[in-house]
Amino acid sequence: MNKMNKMNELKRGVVVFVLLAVLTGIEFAFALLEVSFILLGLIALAKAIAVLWYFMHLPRVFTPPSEGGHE
Amino acid sequence: MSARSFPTQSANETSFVEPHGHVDDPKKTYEYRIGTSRLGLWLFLISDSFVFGALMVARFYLLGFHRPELSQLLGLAVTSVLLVSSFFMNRAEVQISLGNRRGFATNLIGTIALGILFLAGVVGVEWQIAPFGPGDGVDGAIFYMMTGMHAFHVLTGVILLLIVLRNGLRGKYTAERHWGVEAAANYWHFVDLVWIFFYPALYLVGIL
Repeated sequence: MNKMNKMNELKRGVVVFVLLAVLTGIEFAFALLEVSFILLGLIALAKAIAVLWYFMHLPRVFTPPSEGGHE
Repeated sequence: MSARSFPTQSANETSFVEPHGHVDDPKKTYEYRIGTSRLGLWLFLISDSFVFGALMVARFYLLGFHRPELSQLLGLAVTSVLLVSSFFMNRAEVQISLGNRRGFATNLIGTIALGILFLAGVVGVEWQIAPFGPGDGVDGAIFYMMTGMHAFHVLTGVILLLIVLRNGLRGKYTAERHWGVEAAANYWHFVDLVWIFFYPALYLVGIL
């Protein structure tokens, strides 16, 4: 992975963080409004997928190491 | 193959090659070991998630749509702290892959500090102000078991990150070889992932 891709990864980290923060805020607001718990579950699921995919790099498990982070 | 030519993972990650720079067996290359290590780590995380899954089932089975009386603001605060710590952890991992050791150390120290702050918020504050103790009925049992088990994982994560920081400061990771950082980062994000489900289950879902 080249340096440009790594820089993009830094930017993507910021975007994912903002997304997670916004979803947490929405979650909190929904709880105050006593919205259906199914919605809260769906928000938690969306946050979990974002963390699994972008922070935990789940796709790396299925790709050869030379293509998945360590050069 | 001798131990000298194929050192253990705890040794300097830059020395995973034969002394003469050539590895005959493809199963003994660094790339191969990274692949199997990743798989092993994920299997461990999946097995660990069953513990937390069981706690979630217990929470909904015993409390249903009743939620314990807890400080909403404190819950949001500790959740935010853990979320920011995950952001710093991600940056630390990317920085070491760029070869920026200073950026790596700075972000890792931030992650560790936020992890300790999370522990202080949950164990040091929330546990003290909660209107029930661990033995005061189902509310207490569920709350202290869920937060206690999670806090234990945060504590072990902080210890792991301290070890990674020490190794990083000693120059044991490079842009090309930093499996220790990746593994610690994945564990830390896993702890955050668990809280993503615990937070609404304890603080948000249901009525008082």
